[in-house]
Amino acid sequence: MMWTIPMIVAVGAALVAVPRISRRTVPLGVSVPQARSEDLVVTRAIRTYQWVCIALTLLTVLGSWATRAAEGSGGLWLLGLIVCGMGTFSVSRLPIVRAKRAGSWYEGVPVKIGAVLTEQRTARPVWAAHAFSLAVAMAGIVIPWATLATLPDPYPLERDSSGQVVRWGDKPWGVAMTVPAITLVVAAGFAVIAWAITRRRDPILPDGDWAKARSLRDESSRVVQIALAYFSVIGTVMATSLGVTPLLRESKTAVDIGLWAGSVALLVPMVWLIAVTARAQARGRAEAHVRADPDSPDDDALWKLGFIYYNTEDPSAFVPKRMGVGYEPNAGHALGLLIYLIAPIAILVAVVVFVLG
Amino acid sequence: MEIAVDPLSTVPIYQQIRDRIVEAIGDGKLRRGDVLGSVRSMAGAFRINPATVVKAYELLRSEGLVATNAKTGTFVAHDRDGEHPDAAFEGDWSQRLTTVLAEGRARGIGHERILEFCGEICNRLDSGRTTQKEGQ
Repeated sequence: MMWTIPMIVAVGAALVAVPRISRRTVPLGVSVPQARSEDLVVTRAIRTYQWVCIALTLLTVLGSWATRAAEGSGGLWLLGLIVCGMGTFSVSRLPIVRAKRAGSWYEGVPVKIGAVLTEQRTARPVWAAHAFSLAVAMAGIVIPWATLATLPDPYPLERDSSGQVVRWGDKPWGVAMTVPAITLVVAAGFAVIAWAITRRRDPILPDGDWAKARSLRDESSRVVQIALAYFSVIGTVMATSLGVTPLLRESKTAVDIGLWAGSVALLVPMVWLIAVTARAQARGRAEAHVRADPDSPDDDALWKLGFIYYNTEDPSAFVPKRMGVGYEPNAGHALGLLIYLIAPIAILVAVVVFVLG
Repeated sequence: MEIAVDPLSTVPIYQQIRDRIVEAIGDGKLRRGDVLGSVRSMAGAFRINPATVVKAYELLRSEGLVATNAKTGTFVAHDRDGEHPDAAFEGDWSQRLTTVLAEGRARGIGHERILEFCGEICNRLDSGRTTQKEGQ
């Protein structure tokens, strides 16, 4: 049950780290010229945001601990932290927006946006990891199929947030094979996404230093491929384990240990992503004084609330994240909009089904 | 090979893309047969409407510098080592150059200084330093 606390701490740390993993010219989701990135208004807004996030995280941990007896409360606290964190982000950035507008920070500042015109070299997918994921997913199909006769009857159809079975049903083929089949599709999906990313052309935003921008882009590309491979392996192993647990006739302790191990395994790439990105951005900050190249364009008009990309002109369904590494949907594209509409509905359904029962 | 555009410039984006590609061909960064990014991928990279990239590529195609086929997409069709241009092109190019040089003279740039500029630009093109200057 208390496996949500490390998750809350990780999410809180990620919220606090947002300014550290963002490009220094996009503090709290506001484009500023590099010469203004250390402005007093900017540093004060970042400090305020971080302290509020720390307070919110502590409050959430305490609240989650105090209500630990209530089934599903941890998930609700976690959801609350994410919503409040996003609210804090949206409010904390306003002083920077106002100062930028009042002082015409971009007036007279040369800006450019670059792109690779010919064949580009990007980090290759970690094919060995994706092959391993697919092999595990295939094993997840073969094992239940080969041992169908030994599967429990009735079969566990639904589990609560602690992994315990709450609903049993008949043992048809379809039920036993659903989770392994979805796992295989997801593993294949990770491999396809990893390949598709190598075909993309992303903007090169100079931020006053073309060489540094290229270096950050290459590093980000490598990090994304490693993270995809890691999530694929961990996700496949966890889902396959879930599919074969009926064969093991597991105890509650075994399920608890599995959930803890899974949570920690999923937290590792989150922490790693934050650490690697923060380190790369810190290197960029350290070399700020030698920059003389053009700035990146002021693209605030394309980012609603600072973090939702909306550009109907852009044919890309996914664009590089403004904060951290990876990609996010373009709300101005039909597919991206669909994801933005489905995501909150999916979260609500998950809360109602898994948390509120 | 990278190109950069200025989204705030008074020069239209399609014209900037066309100019950067011409410069890349001129300084030898792009050679005959080099495949250019697809319209959608370039539009995504610059966060612009694909029609803008289409317009740039169409312009280059009409000038004979690029060509398109269904298999490889858009590629460089003529580079600086290609056959000598016809008299019609030279006449048109000479006219445009006259306008640019006259603009300098009108602003008070002297004959010697203009020759210096021309020499520097030709040297940059020969050494391939025109398009990559920003990235160094």
